[in-house]
Amino acid sequence: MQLIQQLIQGVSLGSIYGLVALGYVLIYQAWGVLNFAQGEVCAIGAFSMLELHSELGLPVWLAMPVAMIVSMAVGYLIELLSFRPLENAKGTSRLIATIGVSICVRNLLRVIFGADSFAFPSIFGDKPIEIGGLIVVPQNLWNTAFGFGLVILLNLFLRHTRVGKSMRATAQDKEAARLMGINVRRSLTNTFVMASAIGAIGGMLLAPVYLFNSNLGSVIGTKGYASAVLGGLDYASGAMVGGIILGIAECLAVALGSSAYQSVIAYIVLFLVLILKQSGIMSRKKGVEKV
Amino acid sequence: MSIGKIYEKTRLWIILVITFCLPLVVSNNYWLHILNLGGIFAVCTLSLNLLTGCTGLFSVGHIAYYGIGAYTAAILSTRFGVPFLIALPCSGLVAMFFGILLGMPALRLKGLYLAISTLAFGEIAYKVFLNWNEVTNGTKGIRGIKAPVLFGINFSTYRAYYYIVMIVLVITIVLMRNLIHSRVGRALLSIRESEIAAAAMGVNTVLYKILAFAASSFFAGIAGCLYAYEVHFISPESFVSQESTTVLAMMVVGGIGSIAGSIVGAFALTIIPEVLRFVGDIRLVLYGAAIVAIIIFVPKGLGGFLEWLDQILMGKVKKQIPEEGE
Amino acid sequence: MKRKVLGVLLATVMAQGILTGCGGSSSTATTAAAEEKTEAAAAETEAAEAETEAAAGGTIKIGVVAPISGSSAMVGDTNIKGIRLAAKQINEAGGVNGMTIELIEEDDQQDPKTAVSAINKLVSSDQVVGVIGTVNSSCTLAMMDVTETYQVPLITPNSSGISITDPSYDYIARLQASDTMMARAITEYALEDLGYTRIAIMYQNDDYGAGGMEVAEEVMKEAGVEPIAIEAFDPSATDMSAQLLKIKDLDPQAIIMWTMYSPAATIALQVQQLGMDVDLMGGGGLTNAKLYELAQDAAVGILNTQTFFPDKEKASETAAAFIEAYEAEYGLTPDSNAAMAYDSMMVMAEGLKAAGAELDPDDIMAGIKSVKDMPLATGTITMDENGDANRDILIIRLAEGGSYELVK
Repeated sequence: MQLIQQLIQGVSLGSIYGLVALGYVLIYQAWGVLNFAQGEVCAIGAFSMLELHSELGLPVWLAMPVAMIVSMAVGYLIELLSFRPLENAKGTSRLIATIGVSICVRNLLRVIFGADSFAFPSIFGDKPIEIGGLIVVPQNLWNTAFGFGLVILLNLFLRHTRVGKSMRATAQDKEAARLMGINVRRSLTNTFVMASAIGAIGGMLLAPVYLFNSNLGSVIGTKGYASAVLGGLDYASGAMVGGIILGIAECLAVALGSSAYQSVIAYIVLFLVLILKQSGIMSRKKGVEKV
Repeated sequence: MSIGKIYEKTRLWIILVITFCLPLVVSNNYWLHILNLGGIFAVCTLSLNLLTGCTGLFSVGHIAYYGIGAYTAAILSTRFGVPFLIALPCSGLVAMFFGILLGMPALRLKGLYLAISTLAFGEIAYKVFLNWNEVTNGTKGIRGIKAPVLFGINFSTYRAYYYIVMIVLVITIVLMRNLIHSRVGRALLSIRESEIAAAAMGVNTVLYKILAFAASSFFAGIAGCLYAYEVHFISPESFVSQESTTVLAMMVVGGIGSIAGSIVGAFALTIIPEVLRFVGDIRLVLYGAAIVAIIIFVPKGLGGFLEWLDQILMGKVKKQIPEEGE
Repeated sequence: MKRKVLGVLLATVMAQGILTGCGGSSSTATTAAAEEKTEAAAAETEAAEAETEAAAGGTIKIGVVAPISGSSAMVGDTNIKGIRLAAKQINEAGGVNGMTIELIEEDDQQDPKTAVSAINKLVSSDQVVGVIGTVNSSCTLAMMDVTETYQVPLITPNSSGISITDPSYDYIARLQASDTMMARAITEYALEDLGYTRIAIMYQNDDYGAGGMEVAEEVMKEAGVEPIAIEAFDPSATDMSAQLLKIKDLDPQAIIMWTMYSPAATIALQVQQLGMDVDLMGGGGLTNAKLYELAQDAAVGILNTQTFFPDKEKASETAAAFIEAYEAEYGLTPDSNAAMAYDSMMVMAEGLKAAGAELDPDDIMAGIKSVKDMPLATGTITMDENGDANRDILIIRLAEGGSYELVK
């Protein structure tokens, strides 16, 4: 019984990891770099929603899209100031630049909001429902549904809209896309802003479930990119799968192993997956040499 | 003889003289401590540079080797009374052992996937430092690491210890230089450029990759040992994965693949947050922004900039910063 | 070829460096030692100059080290607020021996290496007379080697690690009751007063959490009770449900959690969510108005040890005065960390007073350690010869509406 409950908990936890991972995957595909500041974008989503709802009194249905726009604007700024100038730089340099951005943004959040934790009122209800001795929290259920829904929407968008198609083409081959008359510059920006929006959604769905503080970005960011790599970086739904596997691994690590080594067990799973199948669980490619 | 020629002949001596006279001018213990930390991180960054900058094997968990070195030194010194001169190579060797251990399975992985697996290793090492009470004393850390005593001199002040750090740094630089410019170094560079081509040219890529892991983790362990003797107290907090990214940032800010760069980068990123102390609350905001700014505006890194300055002073003016090992 | 030459050059210089740096012969050794002595003497004169300057109605520099950034930053923030309030009150009341106190605050990023840099800056660059800091025991332990070498009195408000007030260190004092006293009190309360036998322990996996966990486990074993589970979590973790589910399966009566108020709020919320019926209890880190604000009703009933009673209606006179002043200054309710930091500054001032105009570090330390029955925000304090503050430990309960009531 405990194990089934642990699995449920792992899936809810993993859905959030997956949502964060989704942003990593999108940016990685277009830019070929892991954006370590993605966790901070999630934090911006959570904090702007908190500010708009709890401080300015906006209703949740209005606060969410506005917070998303704020995060997209911040994402655009990040892209403009630290990604665009480094488009042709080495992978390592670009990676470190994203770490610089994350240090900067995280501490800026701390200066603005302080170091203390915040709670956000539940949107979909946090009264647990008991089904046959198992406990399910509606908010968690919604988060999982939202995660998968978002993956489906994203796939539809990428496959069936003009903007989406040019984003995909850019991700696949910049030169070819440019030759086909696609505005690569704009496509890259679109992808980045969209990844920021997705990150913000991740942050906003996380906020009602967990307490968060200005350090949120570094905590959730680490889980996010581990999930992204675990699932396979070239496949959007891989992010959700990777996230859920990581979530379950973390819960089972405690249930069957030792909580002191909780993250160690999760990382060993990651390590083994990488050794056995180099480019992640959902990937079809044999290996990617980007950094 | 032109000024440029004189400069070319004497510049190394000038740098060395300045290095060895610096503590006579800097009397403030705070700055001596910062200089020592800079030197220690320079050794660590050089070791990372060999693995990541020269061989192209991405490591995001480098602080693990540094931590293993620090713990080895601390345990040998406090529990077994082993003197510094023996603890120093031992820390390097123990770190090297783990470097090889990780290097073998990681050989299968490339690029980002290797990076994530080293990150996993870093995280695992941190948790082991934290939880393995019997050996590492867990969260309480190990205290009472006595200052090294060599030839009857007690190196207990920051000033005295400065010389030990700098001598180890100079030895590291010499060894790294010789290694990189030897047959081995060229083999490593060829692996970075194209592993397939390297293998086709008869380079035993497996052997050389393990060699890179071994040498790199050895020097990281040495740096860890120096750190343990500098602060006399170690605890797991000093070896969190953020520190790995700090070392990576030092390498990038200094200039990937460049020895001078690694050293300048390490000193720069040790000194910048300290200089920024006066700004108070927004210190780390500026630190993060400074990293981004350096990467954007000095793409060859601070080391590349210095090399360019070097060329100018030698009278070999070039309009652009010279290309190095792209 | 050129590179080989470089290598050889470096090698020769290096060899010379080793000779000059380490000194092969005894004569160089003695010179080096003599030099060091002169330097030390020079430093002393400098310090003496600074002191005479201060004596002329000047200022006394007191350093503050706290985690301004990092995941302990919330504690660092309240610490600094408490210390600033105390310094302000001391200065308004005429200062110490006619001199005003000037605070110099430094961030340790809860990293021992940075803490050592910070304390070195304070001691060598700013030449402070005394230091108050810091939160994480590992950082305080790392700083103690520096304050011991340069003989600077250090008072730590919150580091509760057992090994801090080691008798072999002369320049350290602390205000916080040690983990031993706190964890013993709450565990004995659960075992003896409540008569529980099925107790689980949860701790945040750092020096603070692990220290409390070890004491709680030991006390339980002394009483012949085996803890049903001991579970760790990361100090920055957002989710504790896996640990709680494991404990839930073992049918606990109480969970002793050794952590700060923020993770405690997460635990309280998830305990409620998972439908568990247990008593939650813990150490002094839980007392904060934020606990109720974050966890609301889920937090009601949490028991914790404390030396500072945070309700001004029911607190002692000095504590109530502190709470009022703090609220007037910052518009916030102080928590025990703020109170502890405030008291640290007050005790430091007591030491400074005792040292007179000379401000000799040994006199300051003697002054600090001779504090006896001093009424402060966290109770009536008597310092012992190791620098530990002896005081009564209260057990308080978070009641409906976020107020606290005294249990024991």
